[in-house]
Amino acid sequence: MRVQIKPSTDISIADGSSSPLAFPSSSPVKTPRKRVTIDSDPPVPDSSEPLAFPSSPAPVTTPAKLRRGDIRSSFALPTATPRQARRTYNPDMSDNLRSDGTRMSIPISSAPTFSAPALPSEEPDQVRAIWGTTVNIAETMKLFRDFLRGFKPKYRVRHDREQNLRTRAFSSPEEGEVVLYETYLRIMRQTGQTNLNLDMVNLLAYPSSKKLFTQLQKYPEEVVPAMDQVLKDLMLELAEEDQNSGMEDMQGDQGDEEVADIMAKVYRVRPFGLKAINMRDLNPTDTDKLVCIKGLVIRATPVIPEMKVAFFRCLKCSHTVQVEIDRGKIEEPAKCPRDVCEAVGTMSLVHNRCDFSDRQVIRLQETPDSVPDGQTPHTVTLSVYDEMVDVAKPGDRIIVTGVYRSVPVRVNPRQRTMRSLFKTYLDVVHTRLGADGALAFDRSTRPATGDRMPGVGDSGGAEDPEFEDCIAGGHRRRTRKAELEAKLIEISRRHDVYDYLARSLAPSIWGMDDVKKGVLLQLFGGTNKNIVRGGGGGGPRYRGDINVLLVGDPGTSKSQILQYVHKIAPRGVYASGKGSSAVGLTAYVTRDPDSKQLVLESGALVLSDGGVCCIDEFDKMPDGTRSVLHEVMEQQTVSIAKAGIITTLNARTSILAAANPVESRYNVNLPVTRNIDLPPTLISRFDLLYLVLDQVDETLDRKLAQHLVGLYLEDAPLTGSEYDILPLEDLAAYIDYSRNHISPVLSSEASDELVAAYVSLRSVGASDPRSSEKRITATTRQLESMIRLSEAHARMRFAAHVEAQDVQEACRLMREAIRTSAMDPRTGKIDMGLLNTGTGTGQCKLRDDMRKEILVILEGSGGKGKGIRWGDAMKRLAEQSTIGVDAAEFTEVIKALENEGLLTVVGERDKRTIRKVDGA
Amino acid sequence: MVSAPAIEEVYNPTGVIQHLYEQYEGSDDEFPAVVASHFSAILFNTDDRASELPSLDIHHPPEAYTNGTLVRFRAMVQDTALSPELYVAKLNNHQCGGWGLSTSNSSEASGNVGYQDLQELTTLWAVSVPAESPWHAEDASPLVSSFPAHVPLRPYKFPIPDVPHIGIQIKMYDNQSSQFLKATDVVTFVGILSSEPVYTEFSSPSEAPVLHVICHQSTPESLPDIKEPCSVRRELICWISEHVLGGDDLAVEWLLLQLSSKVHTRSAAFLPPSLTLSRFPPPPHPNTLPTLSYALSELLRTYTPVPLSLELLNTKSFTPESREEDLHSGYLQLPAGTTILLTESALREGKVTEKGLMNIRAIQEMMNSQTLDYTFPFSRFTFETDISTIVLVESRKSTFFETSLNIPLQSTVGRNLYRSKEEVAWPSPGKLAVFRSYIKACKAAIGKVSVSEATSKVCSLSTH
Repeated sequence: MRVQIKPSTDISIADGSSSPLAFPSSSPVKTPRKRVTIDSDPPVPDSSEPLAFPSSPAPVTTPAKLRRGDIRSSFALPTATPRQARRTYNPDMSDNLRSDGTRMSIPISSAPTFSAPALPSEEPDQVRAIWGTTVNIAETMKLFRDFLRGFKPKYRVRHDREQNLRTRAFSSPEEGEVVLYETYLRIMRQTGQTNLNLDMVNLLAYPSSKKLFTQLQKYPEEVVPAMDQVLKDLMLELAEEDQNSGMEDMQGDQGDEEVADIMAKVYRVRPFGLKAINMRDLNPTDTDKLVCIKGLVIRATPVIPEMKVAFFRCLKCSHTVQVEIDRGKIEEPAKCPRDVCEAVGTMSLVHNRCDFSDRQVIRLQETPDSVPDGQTPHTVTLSVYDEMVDVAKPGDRIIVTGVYRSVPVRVNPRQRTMRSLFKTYLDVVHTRLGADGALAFDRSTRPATGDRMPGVGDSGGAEDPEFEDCIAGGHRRRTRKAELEAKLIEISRRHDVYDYLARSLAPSIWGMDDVKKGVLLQLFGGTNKNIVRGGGGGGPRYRGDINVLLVGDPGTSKSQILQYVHKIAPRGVYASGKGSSAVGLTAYVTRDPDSKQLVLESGALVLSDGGVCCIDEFDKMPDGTRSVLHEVMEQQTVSIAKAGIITTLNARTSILAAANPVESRYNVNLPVTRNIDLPPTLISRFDLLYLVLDQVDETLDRKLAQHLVGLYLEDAPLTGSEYDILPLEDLAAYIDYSRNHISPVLSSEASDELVAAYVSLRSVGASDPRSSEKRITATTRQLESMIRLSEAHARMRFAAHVEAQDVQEACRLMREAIRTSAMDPRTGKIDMGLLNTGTGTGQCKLRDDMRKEILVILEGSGGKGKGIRWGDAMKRLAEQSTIGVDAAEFTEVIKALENEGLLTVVGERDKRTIRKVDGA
Repeated sequence: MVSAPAIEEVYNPTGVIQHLYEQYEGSDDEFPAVVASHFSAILFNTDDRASELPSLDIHHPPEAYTNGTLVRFRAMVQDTALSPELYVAKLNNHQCGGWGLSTSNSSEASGNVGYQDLQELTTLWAVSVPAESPWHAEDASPLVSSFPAHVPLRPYKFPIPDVPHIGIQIKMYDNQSSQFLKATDVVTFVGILSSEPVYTEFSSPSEAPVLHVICHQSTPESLPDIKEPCSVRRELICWISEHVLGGDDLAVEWLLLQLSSKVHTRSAAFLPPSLTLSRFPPPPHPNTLPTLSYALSELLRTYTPVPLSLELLNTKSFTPESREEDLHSGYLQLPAGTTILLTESALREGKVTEKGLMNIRAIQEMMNSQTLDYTFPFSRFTFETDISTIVLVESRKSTFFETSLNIPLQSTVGRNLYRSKEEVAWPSPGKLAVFRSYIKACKAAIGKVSVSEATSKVCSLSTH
């Protein structure tokens, strides 16, 4: 629909003498003499007084000053300065005006907006309406002004309650009474920001501005500039008010300066909060309306300067004309518009008098979750302007609010005829980074100021660093967030939270509990730290990312775990080591198809910056590629020297890799290190190394088979399991929440524990020089690993401090991972018999009982370090039990206990004594 | 034979649409559905008049028809990612837009288009059904045309490289039903052929044939009725064994099972197996296809041999990949129900590049899970496939692939497994038709066979 402005001569202003709306700020009473001396807005770039050109009468008017790329307003908005505002408030100005009736139900005493100094019209007050609608711009502006001055959080809470949403309780009654947007405006003034993010649901929630919501959605072209204007007016009003009331930083010259500053700035309202729709559902009926879609950025062009206003000069008579961009095109005047001249084809562009703005074209692709089965994903073009440029990067998931456009396609560029086909794109007014279902990226990896969504408001800005769940649509965010938070905290209080979360991870995979726990901790991650005291520029950055390597037999669902992590991990990238070249994992240089420039395209590792990179078939990766990982895994950067581009890219990523043992199957007759043929330099960079072995055991096999068959029998693996588990989205939300809110610090107790654990880890290797090459030796990296794992564990508990139990679990995991318990310390080989008893459940239980009894007997034997004779122990056991004690069984149990470090056996043969290890 | 009322629809489709439009009083966005149902009722009804429409195929390329002809096009949907377009649904003086109608008077000033008259149309890319056996492609009457061979605008959008095919842009006005079209679906489109500039993101537009779809129909599955299936089966086994696989009845049994397999359910993953026929003798000359290949192409509707070689693996794509926002096809982007025969006889020593590895992985992945990953920037989309795979190898097992079945071929010595098509003693056309429908019926029966309690007990016991 073509929207036009119909200037009406039928001026309709309600009786202004009893203005129903109090504008305390601008009421002439309060500001009797104090007058801002700055004249209006910055000079209008109209055609009247160019610097070097003779002045020409201005038949072409280009009065719109609030020029912004995303809004292509076809009409000029009235601007109001405080002075004019005051004039219109003057009662005798608006005396005998009556309401138009057709489009106005509310008296529009806020007539300041009517005054349009830049318009050629001499009429002081002019009603402007959007043609063909009941929308009256003046009314809209007034409503928005009311909204900004009156909206309080309590309205939102009430609105949400009416929608049957759970709401967050205010910590104090005052919290609900804050005039929210005035606070925001002050923040904007103090921080010098010019963008206000406006949650459109707040418009709905505020009783008198309900109408605005639909208006904004339907006619953004007109309403947004109107809002911009109101915003600026209010900024000035507020500044003046604060100046009068003598606010701290608004006194004297400083205040005047501030006001002047505001005058010179262009303010923009950036609405958001619509319900995100699928880009497939965009209709022609949405043309020129405000829509909200989400997707994955697949390409972004470099910044393109876009001409906003072209400046033409007649070569003959030097008459100048400005032409504004309209629907992406600038119409070159065919002839000189001056009656006297009328020369054809003499208008030439004067480049340095044209106005340009930053523009970037982004291609947004549907996210996998929104594509119907079997269809290929659609892509839409986004145009972003000014502050929004470079907010989103390729690979980001974003939610954008923008105006849907369609422009006719020209059949042939040389022909002027248009075909009746149209290209569509979105002019973006608001971008929000985020992802749903999956975790957001690690925010500590993005620069503090670099690519944050600019602007003040309750989204994307400094106020609200949270990414809300956007599936539910914008209008539920706040409350859903509160709801979610409560739910997550509730989960974190469960005593079995660790097991609960671990079994919720990849519920379709049976068993492998320790692997799941390790991967779970990886997802939580340790905290990234910069140690200031360290040497060099601000000290080294200690990575908090936990790297995990799974080594194991084929068919032990390693890849499944990887796939699962890939699904929920932030910015996750899945790469197969087999098919990856160094390029795929790092970055390569390519020519951008749009700009024909050489650009650096990042590979998997850089893409997963702040996320998890899953690498399958790690062992089959070429050595050259793997060497890249050395740098990535410790320094967390990728250095590239290619095609003349030398650079270092950040790759702060956790790596989850899976590999097969050297001979594809784990060879029991070889030590662990020989089975995993990776250089020790690389192995030591993995915090957790899991041996996933495939053992033949009837009971286990039966259970596994039952589990698998169960999965096949019913469609939903979740309901089939006898456990209660956390759904994937909740798990993701839980992890995301804790990553963003919890950064545990080490308690002294924990650090003691860490030191002790590290020393004992070192001493195991050192005690027997022969074994050093046969086991995975501990280095300081392992200490760091322990710290990271403990931090992650504490984080998982939502604990502010790392405690001893966290450290213990971290050590246990590290031990369990490489099956230390089953390893023969002398040979470095894994005793399969120890790994799993290789016996039925009955026997397992028997051993378990025996084990308990032995410990009890040892405990009972009193005297520290005394221990008990081998034979005595057997005898005592036999006394207690109804079944005879098998000597071999007994030996096995003792051996297992010894390996666990719970007891030691001293002496030989009959003189063997079993001793309990202190502290174990 | 076209009956009288339908003549108008066939020879003057635009006129009929215009006529419908004049009578139509609903909203513009539902009009395409009205048109589609009107034409469907006439063309796809019981006596299937659509098959009498001129067909678009290799022998009848778009160039053979004049613009505005109503044609049918049996095609595979290759790409549904093309951006939808907007068109003017209502021209001046209450004329209908769309279906290429507006292009006829494009000279009119379109500067003041009413934005409320815009409607959306879906664009697809469709190609002739890949791997379709010649016997199935109807009216293969090799029209000796004076036209130069059809050069598809985007040859890379056809799965099998260097094979002549038709690939054109499809414009669907009926958005409701177009939502159900998926990549690799086989659909018969009926529409008005015209020539229009086709836009891509990166290149300048070029004039290309476009099909404005009026109505479409997914290829119907008529279930053949087999009399005495057991005897047909015996005969079929005999014939294959005798003439194709050198007397190995067991291998033929397995082969037949493989051919009649298809995806049963995905949630519980009852997927077709993959079969390796090992110890298959090497061909007398490299690049000779075994007789099995000819036999399969006679027996199956969609079948393609893939003579694996390092060059093929290293240079051709097996998975579709989106490059510069255009989905390039890959060898494995085949319609459901296709059988592929991978032969390793042309393999020589050499280096497998990264691309080759990815291709091998894709094939293996397809065998294991019947899914194919389409590569898009920053993401991969997994698409379901239903492709039955047979691997022929000389050695004990395949160089690259792990198949669920491995049957060593035990052919009687001296039998030639590489007879050319002419040398084979084909059964009578009638018999052949019975064989074909038998295999088809077997496939269709999957999921309808119930396993009795007793049988399942035996099954579960034998696995322990």
